[in-house]
Order: sequence, then structure tokens, then C-alpha cells
Amino acid sequence: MADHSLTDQAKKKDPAVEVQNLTVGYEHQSILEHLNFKIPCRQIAAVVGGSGCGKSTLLKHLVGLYEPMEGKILIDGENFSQASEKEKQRIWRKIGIAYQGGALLRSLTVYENTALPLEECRRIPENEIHDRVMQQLALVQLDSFASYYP
Amino acid sequence: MVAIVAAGRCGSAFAAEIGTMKIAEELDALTTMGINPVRFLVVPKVIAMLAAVPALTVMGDVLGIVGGLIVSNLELAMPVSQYMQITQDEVSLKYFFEGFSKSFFFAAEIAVVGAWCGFNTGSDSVAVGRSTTKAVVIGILLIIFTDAVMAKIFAVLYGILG
Ligand SMILES: Nc1ncnc2c1ncn2[C@@H]1O[C@H](COP(=O)(O)OP(=O)(O)OP(=O)(O)O)[C@@H](O)[C@H]1O
Ligand SMILES: [Mg+2]
Repeated sequence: MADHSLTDQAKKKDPAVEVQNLTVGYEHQSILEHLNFKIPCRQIAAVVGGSGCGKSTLLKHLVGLYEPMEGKILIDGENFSQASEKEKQRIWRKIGIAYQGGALLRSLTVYENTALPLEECRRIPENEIHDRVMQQLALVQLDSFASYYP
Repeated sequence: MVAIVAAGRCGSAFAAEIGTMKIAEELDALTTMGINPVRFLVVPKVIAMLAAVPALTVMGDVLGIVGGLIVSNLELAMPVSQYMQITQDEVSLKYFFEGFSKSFFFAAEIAVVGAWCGFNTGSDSVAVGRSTTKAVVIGILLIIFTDAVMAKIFAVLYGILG
């Protein structure tokens, strides 16, 4: 399985993430300017820096939550800021994000939080959702807390 | 009356809830899960308000009549039967329907304004307080404005219908 996906990825020339002359910021204030980097497939990258230097800002732009002020962001060779809503949805399904504060919905239980993306954007039967959620929760030993609120 | 209370209670709660969710990156999380936060959070609130505010308005109407009855009976020593007679003569069903139909507009306004203020919350926790205040102020102003416009519309309608 691992070998299979390796050859699959290797066939593609595009890096997983590519950033060209990227400037990010909020409203009219830029935070990071003229960034260029490539992250190849299957490579782990870390963004490090002091508090408030713009790590979260950069990542939120990389995942397409904000429009860059300048430059391009390519995910698997696809430009996020030129993508239509529908294409964005498709790209988002390839991305997993752990937010700084957890970002769990407090009105939903641990189980419901985990099940949410499966229920909302895929046609999966309920018992399969249940099995997958419990399996994932067991993986992080949270299965006995499934009915708790975060 | 009911709508203004609801704007104070629910409009502010909606703004606070969505504003807090924004600060906690929950809205970002929904978006990147492929869920539209506006649809996911606002639509249920609008539906809930469309059910609750008209129901509360009916309740408010009934309680208003009962309150009037108690005051006129105890303070003005008016017999219950006389009060009921006057009420029946003076309060026609059209006033009830006027208030009832207005309540749907108020309900939608409260939900949309509350949610809109929540989504436009800034990035710090002080901003949540600001947007809840804004939701109440804009909500109440909009209710008063709508009330005036609808009163005019109803006046014209009554004129046409005789
Ligand atoms: N929504 C926003 N609107 C305007 N400015 C913002 C917004 N979010 C963050 N900032 C500002 O952008 C700068 C970078 O913030 P960012 O959250 O990216 O830092 P960070 O590197 O993730 O910090 P930390 O290590 O504390 O998480 C900060 O000065 C912050 O005040
Ligand atoms: Mg951060």
C-alpha cells in the first residue's frame, strides 16, 4: 500500500505545496512578504518562528482560508485562489488540519465532532460512519469519551 | 415588544456564539471540512426564530390582555365581563394578524443581524463583546424601522380593503 502510493506520487512532477512570490496579511497590512518555497510529496516540513510572526497566518493562506495579497499557492499543482467553490471543496478533502485551539464545536459531542465531515460531505451509510468514527477515536484512546462534550 | 426582547436575548446570543466560534477558529475548521459555515449556522437559527418569535408574539398578546384584565379589575374595579366586552369591541382580529405577520419579519431580522455581527467579529476576544452590542443595537433599530414601514403598509392595505 505504501509502495503503491509512493509510485503514484512519484509519477507526478508537482510538489505537494508550492509557493511563488507569496505575500500574506490582513486587510492592507502585510505580515509576510515575497515567500518562495516548495514542499515535495511525502516530506515533512515545519514552519518555525516567534509568537506572532505569522505562522498561523501563512498556514491559513496555504489552506485557502484567505486570499493571498500577492503571489501564488499551488496545492498538488492546483492554484487555490483561482479555484471555483467546487474545486476548493475537492482540494479541502485532501487536507487535514489541526487547529491551534482545537476548534471543536462545543455544541457537539466528541463523536459528533468526529463524524461531522463524514456526514456533511460524503454519502456514507450511518453504520459505516459509526464504525469509522469509533475506530478513529479508539486510535487516540478517546472511544470511551465519545458522548462527552469537548 | 416581543421582538425587542428577542433581539436583546437571541440576537446578542447569536452574535456571541458565532463570534466566539470565529475566535476559536471553529469557522475556519468548518470551511476546511467543506462545510459552508453560513449555511450550517445561520439557516437553523433563522428557522428557529421564525417558529419561536411568532409563537412568543401570540403568547405576548394573550398575556397583554390578561394583564389588562387584572389591572382594570383590581385598580379600576371594572367587572371582568365589561373588560371582555370592551376588548372584543376594540381589539379586532386584524390587529392580531398585523402583529403576527410582522413578527416573522422581526424574527428573520434578528437572526440575520445577530449572525452577521458574529461573522464580522474581529480577531480578539474584545471584539466578541463589541459585536454582541452591535447585534442588539442594529437589531432593535431595524425592528423599529420595519415596524414603522409595515404599519404604513398595513394602513394602506386597510384603506384598500375598507
Ligand atoms: N484576523 C486578523 N486580522 C488582523 N491581524 C491579524 C489577524 N490574525 C492575526 N493577526 C496578526 O498577524 C500577526 C501574525 O499572527 P499569527 O497568528 O500568524 O502568528 P503566529 O506566528 O501563529 O503566532 P503564535 O505562535 O502565537 O500562534 C500578529 O501580529 C497578529 O496580531
Ligand atoms: Mg499561531
